[in-house]
Amino acid sequence: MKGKVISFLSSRGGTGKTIIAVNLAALFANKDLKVTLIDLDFRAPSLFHIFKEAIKEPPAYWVNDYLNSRCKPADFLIDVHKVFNIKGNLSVGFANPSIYAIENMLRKSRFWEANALKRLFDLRDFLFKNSDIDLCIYDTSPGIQYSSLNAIISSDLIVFVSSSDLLEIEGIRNMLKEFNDIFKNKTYILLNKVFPETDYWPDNKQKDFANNFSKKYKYPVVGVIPCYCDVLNANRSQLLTFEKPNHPFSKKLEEIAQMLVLEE
Amino acid sequence: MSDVTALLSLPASLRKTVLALYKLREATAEDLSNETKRQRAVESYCANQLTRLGYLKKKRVGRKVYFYIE
Repeated sequence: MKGKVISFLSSRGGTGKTIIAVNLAALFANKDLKVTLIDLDFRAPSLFHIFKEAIKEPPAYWVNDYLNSRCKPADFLIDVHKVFNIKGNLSVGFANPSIYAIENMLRKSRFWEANALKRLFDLRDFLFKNSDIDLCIYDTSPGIQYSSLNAIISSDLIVFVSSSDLLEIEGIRNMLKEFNDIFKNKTYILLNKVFPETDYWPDNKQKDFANNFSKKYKYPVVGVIPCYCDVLNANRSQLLTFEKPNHPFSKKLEEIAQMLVLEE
Repeated sequence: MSDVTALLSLPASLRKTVLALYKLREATAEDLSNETKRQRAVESYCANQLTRLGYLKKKRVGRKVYFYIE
């Protein structure tokens, strides 16, 4: 499989981007792929909190340091596949969760952001040409932020994670309409936290539901994930797709993974 | 060097060239044409226009002209 960057975006917070990005990364890695997961949500970094028990001590370098040209890509990527006993390879780049780092990232200039975009393209080269990585997943900030725009530009595939909320749909539709040339041919919609009863609908009704949203967005819907209480209540450090492969949430992500990457 | 908002404010025709150049780093109009699947002349026109606007730089190496983002 040719190296590919997938960005997970949303127009608002709380759609489940991070939990989907983390679990898909674990799922791909467990299929013997070499996967890198990178936190580009500098306003509300969360990957470190998910993995901190597993990695024991904070990393020497963060994604922030890489974008600030303070380290090389190999310095900030932490290999976690042994911790979770994953078959393939999973490395993670954490955004610095300290208040100082968040405040520092908020004050970055446009010039800095332009350089950050070039650093993301350098990272692509490092991952795919030097490290033989199969897949890189970006977890981004919600809405239109520099970091999420940089992620969009430097990605091969974009997945908008959305609930079925009308405000959310409008937010995404506006972005897609405005920058149609950037999004077309590489963008999917993933509906998450939809009404739990959809899980019990027959296949054709589920397909109609997805097609209806596809028409609204004018972009393909890659999957529909119902709101599962036990996923919301689960310990965030659990990799559900890996630890509970038979859970309906894991099954849904398996189908989505097939559509996004594995079927190519 | 242009940041991403400047990039998004460009017309789609010019934006396509800049996006291709971000991937290629340094490219002739022909390289750009292979990436964007548009005609070489179109890429040459867009890249030169972007150079005039200050988004790109260009340099001559022998007979070839390379465009790049500084």
